[in-house]
Amino acid sequence: MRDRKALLFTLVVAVAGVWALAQTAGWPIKAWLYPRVITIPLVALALVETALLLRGRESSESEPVPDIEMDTSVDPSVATRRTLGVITWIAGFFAAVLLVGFQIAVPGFVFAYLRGAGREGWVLSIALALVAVLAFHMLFVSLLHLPLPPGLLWRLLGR
Amino acid sequence: MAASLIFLNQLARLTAVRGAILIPFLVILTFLGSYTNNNNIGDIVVMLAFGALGYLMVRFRWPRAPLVLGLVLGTIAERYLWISVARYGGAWLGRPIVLLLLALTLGVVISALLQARRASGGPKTSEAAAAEGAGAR
Repeated sequence: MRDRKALLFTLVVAVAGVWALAQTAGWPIKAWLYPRVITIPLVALALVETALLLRGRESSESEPVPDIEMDTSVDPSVATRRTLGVITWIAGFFAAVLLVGFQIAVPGFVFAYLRGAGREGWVLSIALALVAVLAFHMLFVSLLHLPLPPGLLWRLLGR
Repeated sequence: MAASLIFLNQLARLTAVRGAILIPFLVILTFLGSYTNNNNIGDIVVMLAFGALGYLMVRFRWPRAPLVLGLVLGTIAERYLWISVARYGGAWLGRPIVLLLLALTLGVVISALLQARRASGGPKTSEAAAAEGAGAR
């Protein structure tokens, strides 16, 4: 099953490379040179990897990787649940930023995450949400004068 | 760098903070960091897309360092590739330093392949086979 997913990922990379190559058709040489120099080896290597996986090469579970590795000691169903949970929280924060803007999304997210996912107490959750508001306003609003988007909801309501 | 060195001990203490407390602040900082690049929400979408790609690369054990290096050095590489092509055409590939670098690259790739083959227990030498046979007896 894992190898089937690895095969799918490799094929997606190969298809994305072919799509990128097709996009360069008709471009002047200065524009297409570098993308093609990068994309042609990418597609070739992705196809080699696909061929190796199709020939039934074992997953390289025991081979060391030079940087961080995924923890495989956790039960797969638990790992999937946690991954989906994290993706949902990130998607929720992104939706909140789009809808109500950073000013409300930042403390709201800190408070909701600490109470919901972190199961922290009310006092700590409220205190850290206030710290987040203060730090955010002091650094990004007062000091850096960051132009923050107001949020679609406020725009729709005419504020 | 100076600030990092001065606050090294304080920064190291962050590793002792519970993940549940750190995560919301890290998510906010990554969102704000990507947004402040061009003050554009689109940059957050790009960050999320590359985050998803990074997750899949970790999951399927693809090395991430070459991708990061490519992204960091890409602009410089593109500029000098074009300068080389504009100056020499295809003949830049035959220049001595280029040939040397290509040979070094090939050497690294071949040595990595040989090491991987040796680690996975490639073809045994006759001495090794004889030693194994003697051990079995």
